[in-house]
Amino acid sequence: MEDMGDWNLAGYLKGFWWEESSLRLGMTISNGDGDSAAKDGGRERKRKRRAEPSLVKWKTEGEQKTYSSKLIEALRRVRGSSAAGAASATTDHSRGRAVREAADRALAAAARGRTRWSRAILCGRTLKRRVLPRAGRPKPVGRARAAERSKPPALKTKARVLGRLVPGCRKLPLPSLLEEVSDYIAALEMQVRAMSAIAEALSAVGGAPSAALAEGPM
Amino acid sequence: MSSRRSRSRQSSSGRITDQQIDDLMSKLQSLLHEARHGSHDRASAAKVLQDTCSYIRSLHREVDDLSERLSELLDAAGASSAQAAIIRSLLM
Repeated sequence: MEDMGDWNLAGYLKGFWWEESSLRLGMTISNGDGDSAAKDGGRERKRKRRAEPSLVKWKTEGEQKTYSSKLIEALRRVRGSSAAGAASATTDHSRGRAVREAADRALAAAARGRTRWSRAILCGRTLKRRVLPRAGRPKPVGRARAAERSKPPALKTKARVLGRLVPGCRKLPLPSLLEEVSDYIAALEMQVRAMSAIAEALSAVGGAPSAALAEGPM
Repeated sequence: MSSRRSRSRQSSSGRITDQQIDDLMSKLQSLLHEARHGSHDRASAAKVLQDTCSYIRSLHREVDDLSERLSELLDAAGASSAQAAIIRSLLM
């Protein structure tokens, strides 16, 4: 618990993430081997408990294909459940929302639980987000709090808005928040690419309405 | 721990200054948005945060629209044509 303590993250990240980040940002985002660079940085500094999530993976074709197949399986289940249930109850919007939730869950699963937003999505869909024990996370120490006080209020409100947009990141201090944001944006971009490709493929085929998809074994 | 402090440049007590935060934040966000904004100077951290919020919102909207479209397509697609489409999309 001490090793992976979230409450240490703010000061912890500030301590070395900022120094290394300029180096790592250049490496993880523009190079292909950014992942190994991040890990090497972690191995030589033994203090580093978790590897930084590399942004490059969200751009790879392999990741997108993995995500696409996960998504298609989930979509097949959505289609099955909506056909089996009361057809009158499902409107376009509720089906669209089911698709959106399935897509988000698949995206969070693709993140392998290494980011806060992905864990929040995976937990938030089954439990209400309020139920999660937020009280278990102690407030950051005075060091982080003092730094926050010196930020202009305009920045603080914008940072708070940003924190609300990313799942599970409402109370995050700025350094962690920015890390989550960059990973979240890269993941969202991949989600858009994958869903567009699936939509293109499905619309190119067109098709007669059929209930066979719900019952037929694939 | 002491090596961490000795390496931080501008802070006497090991705290990160606002300037450092702003610099790195701008750099981080500009790297994300390099394709969209070209390479002109992004002046303020507030603008960067603002742009990021707008971008995330637009991405959310796009995902919602795609979800609607996919739900309609799924209902309309037949079994075999859906299979063919899925295979094609995975091979692409």
